[in-house]
Amino acid sequence: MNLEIIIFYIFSLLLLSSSIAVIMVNNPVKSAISLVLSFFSSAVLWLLLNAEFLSIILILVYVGAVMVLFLFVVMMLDINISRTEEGFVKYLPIGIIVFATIAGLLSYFFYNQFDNAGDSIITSIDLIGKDNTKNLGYLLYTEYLLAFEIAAIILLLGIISAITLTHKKSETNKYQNPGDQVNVSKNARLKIISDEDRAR
Amino acid sequence: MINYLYIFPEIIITSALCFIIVLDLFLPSRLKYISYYLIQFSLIFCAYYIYSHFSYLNTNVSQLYDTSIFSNTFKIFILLSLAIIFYYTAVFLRYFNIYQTEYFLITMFGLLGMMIMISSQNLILLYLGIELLSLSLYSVIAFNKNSLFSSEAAVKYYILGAISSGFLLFGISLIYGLTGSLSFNEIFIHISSLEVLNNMDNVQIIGLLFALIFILISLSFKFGAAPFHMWIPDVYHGSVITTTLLLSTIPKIAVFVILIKLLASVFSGLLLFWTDMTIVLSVLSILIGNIIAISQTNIKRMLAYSTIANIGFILLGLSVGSIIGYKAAMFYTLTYVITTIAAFGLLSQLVYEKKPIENINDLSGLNSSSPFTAFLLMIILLSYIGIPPFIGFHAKLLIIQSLVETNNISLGIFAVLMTVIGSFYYLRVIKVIYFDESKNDLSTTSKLHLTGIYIMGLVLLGLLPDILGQLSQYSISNLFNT
Repeated sequence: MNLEIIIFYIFSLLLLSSSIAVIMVNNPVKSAISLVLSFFSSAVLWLLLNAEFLSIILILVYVGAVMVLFLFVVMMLDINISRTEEGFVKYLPIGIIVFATIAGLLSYFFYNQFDNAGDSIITSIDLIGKDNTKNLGYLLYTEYLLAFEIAAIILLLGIISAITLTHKKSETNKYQNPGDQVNVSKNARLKIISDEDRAR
Repeated sequence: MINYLYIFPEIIITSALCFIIVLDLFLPSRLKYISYYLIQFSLIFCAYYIYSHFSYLNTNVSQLYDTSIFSNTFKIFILLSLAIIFYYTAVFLRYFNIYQTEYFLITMFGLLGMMIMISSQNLILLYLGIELLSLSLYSVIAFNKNSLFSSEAAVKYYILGAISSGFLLFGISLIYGLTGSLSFNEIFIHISSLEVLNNMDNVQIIGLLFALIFILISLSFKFGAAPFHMWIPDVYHGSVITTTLLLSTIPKIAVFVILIKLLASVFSGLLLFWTDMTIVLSVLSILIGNIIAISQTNIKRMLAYSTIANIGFILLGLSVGSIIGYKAAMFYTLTYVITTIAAFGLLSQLVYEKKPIENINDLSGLNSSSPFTAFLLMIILLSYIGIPPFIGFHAKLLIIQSLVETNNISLGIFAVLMTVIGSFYYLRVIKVIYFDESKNDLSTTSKLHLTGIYIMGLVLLGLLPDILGQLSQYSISNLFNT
């Protein structure tokens, strides 16, 4: 057994156990930290696949930025832990059935497919030299440029809808509109009541 | 690489969006109508551009982006439907004083997502289009910040939508692993090179089926087919009625196009397997939709279940697995969208006790207070049931005809029986309108002239069903010739 396989098994075990911990642990902070661990171990797996750029990006962006923000939010929230345990036993049978079906089918498929694993269909894409980062950039800006631009539009939509949904016109601000003040007419200030109206 | 003249319709929409976002910030609130008319103009102009460049766009041979006649027909249809939906939305939002131009702009992002979905020839683009569409729908559902129902519906849809996106991505990754490509064309070539009953390929086929099931689950979630329909009643109920109008119409067209492209052409090698899957989906949808709709008292929930039943009919057409079935399914989809726009559009213009209409009982005695509105609503409901002179009849007839012609007689009988059950809840609304005691608190948000013209158009389509028939004939045969 060479080193690569040993590392693979260690980190995939770590990935599996930390992912299970994410959903099983009661304390949300611990759960978020397990998620960090699972990101880290999948980054190592990607490194084994020679995708060094993606694995470093995963650590920088997800572990470095997203998860830190996430942890901040989780620590600020006051989550009632006992309520998260409700219904676990109730939904367990359905969960086990779904899990068993998917896991059974997948393992059947991969077990049989393992014999053909040698002649894998995907050959590594090597367009302009060995550099992984350069290859990615080349593909993104040539073949998948359209997809790249659409991803940018998705981000724009994210910004606009987040602002629209959270922005409130402040009602506490008091300000005067000079235009309205100048344009005010007699009718807006004075109400003339005739004698007959008053009698009613 | 891609020639940018072919994506000019999308560029029109995107630049109109960016321009109007900025312009709208500088407009004082009494001039906001300018941005509304600009949005309407850009929709109509984009539709006109596609129409006038129909044959040029058809020459596109890109592996990434497809602008064939089939896709462009649907794009024009979506653009025009959205223009009508925006009219109703503007009237509704102005009346209830929650008008904001951003509502239309976020919906336009969704439109862009749908156009990308329709044109995608690559699973990556398909995924991005679906994400763009669903993100815009999440925010449109949550738009009414004052309503708790609205936020609940948005969160529900968001979580379920994220799960279904996960399913889609899992299926896509399996397909990439098995075929080594994401392009529809190459996947098609790979699948047709397999021999379906050969032992060597057996494992490959199990893997592909596994991937197909995941993709189908995700798409039927977006489509709203049972058993993935749980979100539909809650979301339709929770959101503002014009959002419901949006949700129940054009996204279904986009998903239908994707389904027909994936199932009927890319995965046509696995026809034997996916026809069974769609039969299960459609039978469950028709059954659940029609039977649960009977017990609903809220009109939005009732129409939500009727949507599920209609989706079942569309899938029934797809499950035939031949061109005659696809034509019937396309006819049904177009009919369903046209009728649903009329239904929700008319309902969005009715006001009960200064609130939007909610329950079926709110409509009681509509005939005595405004006979014209009652008459229009009756036409729509009769078309839903499938009473002969109206367009719904031809749609149901075509589906059942295609089933009978391919010897699926038991399914045809099932469809007819379910239509009979379904007619109960539509007829009950007619009974409430015409025979129940009148409440005089009903009014309308605006004059119903345009709605009246639209519904007369619906009646005309029913008298001349060949218009839609020729359209589906033309575009479906174009899809399979190229």
